[in-house]
Amino acid sequence: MSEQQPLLAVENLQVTFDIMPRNAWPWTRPQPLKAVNKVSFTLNEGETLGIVGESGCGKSTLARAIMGMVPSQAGKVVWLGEDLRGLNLKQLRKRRQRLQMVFQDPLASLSPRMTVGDIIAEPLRTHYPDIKGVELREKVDVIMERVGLHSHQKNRYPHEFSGGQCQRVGIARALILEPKLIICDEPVSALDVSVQAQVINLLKSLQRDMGLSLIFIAHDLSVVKHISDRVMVLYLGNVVESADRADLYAKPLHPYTQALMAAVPIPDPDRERAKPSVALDGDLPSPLNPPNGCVFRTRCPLAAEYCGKEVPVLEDKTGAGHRVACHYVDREEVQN
Amino acid sequence: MAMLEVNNLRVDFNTPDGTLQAVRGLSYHLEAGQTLGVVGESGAGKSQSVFALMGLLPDNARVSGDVRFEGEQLLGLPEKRMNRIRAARIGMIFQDPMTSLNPFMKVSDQLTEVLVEHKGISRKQALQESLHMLDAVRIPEARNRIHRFPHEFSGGMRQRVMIAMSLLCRPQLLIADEPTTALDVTVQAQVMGLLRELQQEFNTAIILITHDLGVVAGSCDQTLVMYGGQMMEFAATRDLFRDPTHPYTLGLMGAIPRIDEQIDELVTIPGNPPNLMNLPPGCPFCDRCPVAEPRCYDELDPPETFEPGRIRVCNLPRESTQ
Repeated sequence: MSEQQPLLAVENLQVTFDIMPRNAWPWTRPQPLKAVNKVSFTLNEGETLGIVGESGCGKSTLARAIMGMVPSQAGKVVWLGEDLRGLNLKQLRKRRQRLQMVFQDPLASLSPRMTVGDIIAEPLRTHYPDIKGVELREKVDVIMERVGLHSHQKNRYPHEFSGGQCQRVGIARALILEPKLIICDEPVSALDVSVQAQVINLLKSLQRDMGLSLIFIAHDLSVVKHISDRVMVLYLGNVVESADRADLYAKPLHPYTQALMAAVPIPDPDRERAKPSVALDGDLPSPLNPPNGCVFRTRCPLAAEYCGKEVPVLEDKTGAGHRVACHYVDREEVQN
Repeated sequence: MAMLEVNNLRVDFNTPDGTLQAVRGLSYHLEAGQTLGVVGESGAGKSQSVFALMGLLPDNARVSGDVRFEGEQLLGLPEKRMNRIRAARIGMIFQDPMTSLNPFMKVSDQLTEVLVEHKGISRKQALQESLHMLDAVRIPEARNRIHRFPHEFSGGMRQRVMIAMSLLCRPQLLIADEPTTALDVTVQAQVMGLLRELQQEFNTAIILITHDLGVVAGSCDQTLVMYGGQMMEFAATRDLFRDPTHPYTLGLMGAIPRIDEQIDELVTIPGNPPNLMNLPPGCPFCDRCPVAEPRCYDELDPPETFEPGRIRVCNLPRESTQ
């Protein structure tokens, strides 16, 4: 890893939504909902960061806040040395050429009234109005072939394609501006297992060939494992664990990560039935009224009285960049 | 006699563009208290094959074959008789718990309706029984929650309400159509654990439809792999995972990202599922099969039972596909 400037550095990013309580009077003060709470990470060129957590843990909000699609209240999003949060829309739009996004629902994220060719060409038309005619068509053809679509399909509409193919269109649209970073927000959750594997392999090969960085969001640790260099686990807007892939999967330290890992079904009847059940009970607590102290304590098998008093700090427990926020993970014990 | 026997089930849809063949000659049977997993990609005919048993297909569907549930022919049964079987003896859980619950009815009304209709008990008794069932599926504070509307529940909680509703009349057979596809992995683990427990308690047989072989591994006694509306392989789950004999099963297994092993590149099945309007005369998998021979495009051998309880449908000899 180079010690140079990282591609993206997020520092203490905080996103709060104002929510009106139910049946409230119009003059009632709205309640703040902390969707993303002091999240920090850095991403180097060519690297992939996996972000994992259950629905409602702030994964997508984090992605949108990085892109500037939802306003963030505090912190920094440093992109190539420049804080994106201070920019106006025009300046931001220029930066976004290098910073693209792929969405979860492949069909819903494509305009049903535009042909696939137009959808893929639109970012180019927006940012480079000078590119026209044959040149534009050639660029679209090249990118379509690269993501595994046939260029003769470009006059078709999204509904004529399967889910996997629509996701390829979404990837082509993100790629056409030759970005440095693509944020993939659950790109494979809506797809069948076999198609999911195709899309993961495609993203991996694109990354190899084009030196892309990826932020890959999923709710399933097994999917993230195949694509990430580093993995960050979110719970109720807080980072609870972050580590290199090998470290995290070899030895998950946070009880939440352990539970997430145990929840992934193993396609082997003997192992699946023999594995200890660490199933999480209950649902995510309301983010409007998060537990005091450690946010995970209401569902944690280890939780004690102390966990409700003090918020655990996210700190490096192994000395090798394995950061965990848990009172129970003891530094000396881990290092030995 | 098995509890459920399906023989040569066919489902065709008449569409303006021609006939769509959703299920072609599917046969299987299921014993009481057992779990059958039905696996395949979208468009394999998994859902349509069970909708056919329940008589839930739209008007443009043509169903033929022989489906016997405890000896009684289900296909072509009059609507009135079918209504006595649905929910009371065969329960069903659908994929999306939001769209399958009525958004305008309180959960309590939706649950008691089933009991009042099928068991003829009073609303008061029905409410007691419903509460009991919500406790069984472990909905916390069921007594307060039962009078709320579906949108006030989370996704996992709604799916539990669905499960509770389908089990109210203690059916002998429960059909679960992708019950966990719309849920988070953690909730999926909870729901699957719950189904296993309830199955033991009520001795229900389950048909579990899914596209995830991991889910099958954990809870099914037998597994049926479907592709293009046909059976590709059928075996006891342990045997299927230990030694899959069909190229499609092998492809599906290679595509699963695994948490317990290190794999560098996922194996994919190239291409897309076949067009059901225009299926090849031979094996439906021929276009995507890595070992297909020329004759696979024109013909497909009948199902071969090569060991007791193990069936495969493939032209190639078993040794060449393992």
